[in-house]
Amino acid sequence: MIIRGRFIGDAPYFAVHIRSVHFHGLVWLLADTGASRTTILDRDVRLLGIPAEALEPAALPIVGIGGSVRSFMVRDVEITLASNEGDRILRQDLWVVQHDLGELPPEEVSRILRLPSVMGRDLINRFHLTCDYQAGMVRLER
Amino acid sequence: MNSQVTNELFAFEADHTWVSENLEALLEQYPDQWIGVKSGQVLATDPDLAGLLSKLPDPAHTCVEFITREPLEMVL
Repeated sequence: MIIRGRFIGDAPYFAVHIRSVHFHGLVWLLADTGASRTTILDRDVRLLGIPAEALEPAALPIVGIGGSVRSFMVRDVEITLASNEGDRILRQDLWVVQHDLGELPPEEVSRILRLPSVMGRDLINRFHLTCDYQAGMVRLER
Repeated sequence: MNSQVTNELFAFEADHTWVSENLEALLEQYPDQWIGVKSGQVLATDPDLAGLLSKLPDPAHTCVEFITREPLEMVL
């Protein structure tokens, strides 16, 4: 079973469909082997319309580079990826990170809203990941 | 036969491909604006993401991109 991603610029991405009892929609996830958890960031929180009642305060602290953030979890999310054998459906908790944008200048807010959500090792490590920029190939296999 | 979700994902990917292929023209028309694209058509634009979302009928199933020449270096 092969799930094909694509490079956007020089970064590997996978399109996924996310569904919970509170929301559903389509998201690009940056394949990020440096991230331990698959995490939805500010822009996609807004695009998906994730309501406050879907968010639980995260039990564990999230440590990253830069910025003040609030971290949450969404329980039991269905993540669908399109494979050559049809839908590949995974269920897991998702992390959500929201930056504190209130005090920032508009241009900085705009930059933060350009940050992609990430596919972390909790999802990547269920597959064999191929990421070969020179060959233009990014895919997950099982 | 593909499922509805798979078809949605393929259409979503196709819209992002369309944006990439038409980026120069989009940069001329909508510099430093958020755009919403579906089926290869620009549905709405706005310099502010919240403003764009208010104009889109279904933001969660729409390709949304910020069109700019400003590079963004990311260390996530």
